[in-house]
Amino acid sequence: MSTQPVRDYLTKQLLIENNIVTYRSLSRALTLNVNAAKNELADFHANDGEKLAATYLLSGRIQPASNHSEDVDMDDGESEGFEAEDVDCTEMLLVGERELESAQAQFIELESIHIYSLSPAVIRDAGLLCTPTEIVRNLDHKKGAELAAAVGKVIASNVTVSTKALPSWGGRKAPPPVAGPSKVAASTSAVKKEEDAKHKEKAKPEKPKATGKLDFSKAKTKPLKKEEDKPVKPETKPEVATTIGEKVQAKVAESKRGVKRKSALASDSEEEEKVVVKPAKPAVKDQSSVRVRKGVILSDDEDDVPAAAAARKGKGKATAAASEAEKNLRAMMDIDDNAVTRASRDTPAEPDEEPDTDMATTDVNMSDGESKPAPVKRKPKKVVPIGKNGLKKKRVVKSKMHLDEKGYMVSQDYSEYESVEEEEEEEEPAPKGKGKGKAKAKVVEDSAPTKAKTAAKPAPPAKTKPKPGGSSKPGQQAGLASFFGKSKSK
Amino acid sequence: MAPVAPLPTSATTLTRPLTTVLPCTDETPSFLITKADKSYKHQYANIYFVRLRILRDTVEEKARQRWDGIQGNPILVPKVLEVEKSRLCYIVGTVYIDMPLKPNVMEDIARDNSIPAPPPLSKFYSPDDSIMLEDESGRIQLVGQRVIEERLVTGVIIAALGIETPTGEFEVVDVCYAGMAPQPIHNVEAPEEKMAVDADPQADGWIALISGLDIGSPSPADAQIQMLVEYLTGEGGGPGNQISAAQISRLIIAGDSLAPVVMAVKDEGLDEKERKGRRYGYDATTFSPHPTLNLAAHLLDVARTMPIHLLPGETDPSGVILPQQPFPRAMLGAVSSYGSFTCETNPTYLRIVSGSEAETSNTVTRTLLVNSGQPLNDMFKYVASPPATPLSLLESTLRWRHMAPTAPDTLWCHPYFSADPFLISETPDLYVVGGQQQFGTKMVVESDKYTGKTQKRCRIVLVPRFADTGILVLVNMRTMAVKCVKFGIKGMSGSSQDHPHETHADLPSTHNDSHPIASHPSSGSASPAT
Repeated sequence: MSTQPVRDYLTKQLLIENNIVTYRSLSRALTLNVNAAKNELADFHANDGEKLAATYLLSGRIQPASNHSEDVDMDDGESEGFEAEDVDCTEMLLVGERELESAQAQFIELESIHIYSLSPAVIRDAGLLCTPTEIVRNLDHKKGAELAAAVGKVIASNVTVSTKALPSWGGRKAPPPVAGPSKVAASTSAVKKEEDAKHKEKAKPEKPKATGKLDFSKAKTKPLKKEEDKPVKPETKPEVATTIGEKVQAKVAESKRGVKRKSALASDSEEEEKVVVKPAKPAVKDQSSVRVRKGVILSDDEDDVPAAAAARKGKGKATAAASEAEKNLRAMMDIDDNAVTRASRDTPAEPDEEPDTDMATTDVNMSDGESKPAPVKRKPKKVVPIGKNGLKKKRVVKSKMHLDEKGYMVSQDYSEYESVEEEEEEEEPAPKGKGKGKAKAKVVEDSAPTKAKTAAKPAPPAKTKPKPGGSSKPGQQAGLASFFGKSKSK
Repeated sequence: MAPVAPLPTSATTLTRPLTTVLPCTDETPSFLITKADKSYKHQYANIYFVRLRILRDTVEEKARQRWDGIQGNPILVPKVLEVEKSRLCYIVGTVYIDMPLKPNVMEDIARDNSIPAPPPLSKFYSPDDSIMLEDESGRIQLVGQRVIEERLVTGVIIAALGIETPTGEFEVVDVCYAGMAPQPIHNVEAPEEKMAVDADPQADGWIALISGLDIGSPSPADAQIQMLVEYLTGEGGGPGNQISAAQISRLIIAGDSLAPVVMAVKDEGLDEKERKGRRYGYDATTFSPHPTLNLAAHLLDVARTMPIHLLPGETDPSGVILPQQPFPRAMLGAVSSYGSFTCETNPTYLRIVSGSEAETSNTVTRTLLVNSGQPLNDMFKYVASPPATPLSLLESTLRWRHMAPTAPDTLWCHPYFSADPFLISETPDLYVVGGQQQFGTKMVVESDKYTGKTQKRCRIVLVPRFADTGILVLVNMRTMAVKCVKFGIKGMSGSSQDHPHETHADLPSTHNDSHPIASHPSSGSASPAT
């Protein structure tokens, strides 16, 4: 009776591969109705597979599963007081061939009997009958509804596969930004938060370059960044001009060193940003247009944009590859410096240290804010302060101002090894500030670009590089002009 | 060789009756713990307070009706401490049973920690228990044969009629409960309808109830679960079985789907940790995700053919405090993509409309109250088990209008502040309790003495643990008739009940938590010999 495919399948599975075949695995494999599959198994067992062991599934009525709750007599007035009811009980009993006769005896009424499985050997552990289930499930999964209908599954029409995705737990796509903690020391918590937020936003699109942008964004506000990112260059230039003017004014107004420092820091960050961002030029321009800090950087921005990459390399590696663009840039920077110098001149008069420290702190915050956004930059910055502690001490150039015997204010530059212990928060920015600090001498703008470049270089490769640049500066301290010259020559 | 007559293979495809689930109502609230309730800082006293406040009026009214005009003309004493000596009166309050055997935190603290704690007792009941009635004013001890026979548990609101004795106790003559909660009228009409016609019994939707699959236990009932799945999907058995299976419109799994995780105690645990270093996630040597995957696979098999409601239970990986919150769907893999598969809270109300949407005349709305058995199992520890049975106790909870009176005391529950969610404010049509040792069912009826005609009916069903008994319970949503399908194995090991009748006999009436772990190996090894 069996069709050839069935016979082949059963022969292969049972006699050759010695597998257990249940009616379900047979029905799935050959897309038979389960009842047909049961019959096929019986047929095969009768004709070809006498040696095979069969298990049978019996079903029928049995003694009701009575509950032994006789003792209950709840005779509350209202309760009916009847015992637990007896209910119809059907049993599905799975038995081996040898038990078949005795098993049938325990039914009051045997409704049906069919072969459940065929196996090469007698099955002693019913768990073995579950092994073909894997096959069944795989096929069910692959063939879906048609197979289910073919094998005779009874499917409720309200069974639906919901199209909506798995529950909301999947929402965590991006790992939380890690950068936050490192900066914490230097920056205020508020700054951190902002930075973190920015990090998150930026982290996804462009990681390496993002740092520069992040700084920029920090200086201003995020929304500005986004808006500005897309605007075209033409717009940015006019803005830059205005910003420059503003910057100059600001500088004049704030004649203090601290201001200069800030500007320097800001400029650094901006420049760094630019350099980093080069690939995405629009973003750079945006930054300039944003005019985050004192205008110092603005001029740089315009020039730098084209040659930023070159500038980066030149300074960072001290390679001679100074392109024309670079030269132009430097020229621009010089100009800026001149403009700046006016503002800077005032500074000497002021008491150096106190205002400096205050400004420094403020600067630090600013710089932190800016620096934090970009993971790469952060590391260098962090590293520097940490490095001081960890890497022995760092050599830093400082300038001191004091009144000499004649009553003149004298500023002295000196280099020293500094440990980070005091004012750790401030210290982070300090490395930059110090390097420029000598230069602080008023060349804030110049120093800023240089720093930016130096900073930019180190960022990608290693954190330590920025420091050498700082150390080299001390030698230059002699004069502003010499300082600039060096930077250019580099 | 083949003693088997070929099965008729009919071309007609079977279809399942449709049922739909209605949203919760005020009377059948959701047990989800929402953000508003999520605080754990509240005192549990609030629950008792709310319970007494809500049920007091009802109980007083019932007591007044019950004892109105009886000899002695009892009066209601509003506070238990104000009872007058030698004056017949009745008082309303919360039962508190002082039980020497009940776990006591003070004993826990005082215990010598170098000695392992004794295993939890299967019964708190002892003859030394003293039953007290308390309200805001204080407690008074209840004495008398009547109150002992009542088989009360802590937390029940009752009215007690009696007289204060010279020793300051309250000799109880009679006890009155709140009685069964009101039941919507449409539900009450249905039984009459059932009397009238049994027109098309095949069109009736049935609900399948299962509990205690215990997947992942050391001696799993794999083959029976396999048979269960085959039955539910309409594949197993003969045409008769398939037809009855096709009448099942949905499956409710009342807890204990997964066996408790048995932690292998490893003494060298520390060393291993040091050696391996710290690893995150689970340790594959002590934990296997297999039970969950296995459960998910079975659920998927069934979910392809019918809607499923899955409740967490005592042994499931879910919180221990009631109400247990739904499983996260995602943990069950592919089945979570089925809209017809729902994870429910542990006690849960389900309002199910049977009958197809097309013929609205034939629809019947049934309210189901389902839990996984913890409240009943806990209450059962309070009463002497020869007279009391789980079924009688379950029936009592309906009359107490409270499904888990022992809740804040010995049954852990969420510290609700302004509500007692376990109050039964509407009598369900079907009250299902999972995780039981034995199957049992009963139609609980309460007729109003005064109006006479309105009857409250509730079908209560104890769903036995499948791993121990192999029983699937089916309930007809229209007639509330019940039947069982039992899945057994004979002549092979791998079943918890190779000899069904024996297991029935030795199902201990002492309701302890004897898990199959203890009983299986013996039966398993014995079976090959038979």
